[in-house]
Amino acid sequence: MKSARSAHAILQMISSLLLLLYPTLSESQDDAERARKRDETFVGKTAWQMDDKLGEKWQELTGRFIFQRSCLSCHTRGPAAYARTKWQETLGTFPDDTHNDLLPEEYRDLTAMFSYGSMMPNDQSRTQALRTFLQRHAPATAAEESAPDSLRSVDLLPQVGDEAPPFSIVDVDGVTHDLDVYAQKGESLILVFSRAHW
Amino acid sequence: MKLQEHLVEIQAHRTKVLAIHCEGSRRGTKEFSDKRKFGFPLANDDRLNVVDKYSVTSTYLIDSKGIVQARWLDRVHDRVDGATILKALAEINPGEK
Repeated sequence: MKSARSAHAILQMISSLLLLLYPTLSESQDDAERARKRDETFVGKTAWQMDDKLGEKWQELTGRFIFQRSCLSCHTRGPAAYARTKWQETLGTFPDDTHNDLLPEEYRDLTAMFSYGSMMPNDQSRTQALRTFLQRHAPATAAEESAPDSLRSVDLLPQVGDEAPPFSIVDVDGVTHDLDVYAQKGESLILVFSRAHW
Repeated sequence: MKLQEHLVEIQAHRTKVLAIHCEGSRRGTKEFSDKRKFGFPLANDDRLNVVDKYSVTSTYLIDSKGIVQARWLDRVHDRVDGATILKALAEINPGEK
């Protein structure tokens, strides 16, 4: 009888321990699943991870996307509206308390987006991406700032109604895709830039 | 809905799909494509030549004259869906289905 009670107590202890550990185990499983998906998608290193100049370009591209998607959801001026020094000053404390309160959910979403490829894993890297983008596109001095009410250069991506930028790229099977050829064939194109979540 | 689930309907609009991946290595993109068999071509742009002209994590509808007809700046796991693309295609090609 005594041994049965002991066994019961031991089982209770084990089950309590398992309950305590369950969130950790569950998180570990989630982490493992994320790692598996990451490895499946990101086998090997990209060119921009091995080349400093391309790495900087990648930062600029991600900074441009963050600016477009997040900053312009509240602000109406593009990088050309202020001199580099002013942007540097602004980003020196970014994200400040005001922005932390106001940042839309999608801004946080962008952090998740760029943490997956390990290039934009935290606030510091995200700010660096914005800084890289703005330094490339902001005028060097205040004297060169565009008119304050100018909205020009706010949207730096191809817009609806624009002629699509020409490109030619070889796919994984060795087939060349040229934008002009689609047009010659009278075909429209859905062009997807993705992290492979289809 | 996933893009490939609407592929036949999209193609019926005389429209092709091209996916460009710039966050993985060339080998990774190839292995991913071979494994998943998307039904549309997948190219790697890890030297950022094409994405530099457009934008990361986005989708563009370019008509047969080379004009951008729609642009979607997507979220991480919330890409523009096939139905939305089909609606945009129907607007630029009203006579086709």
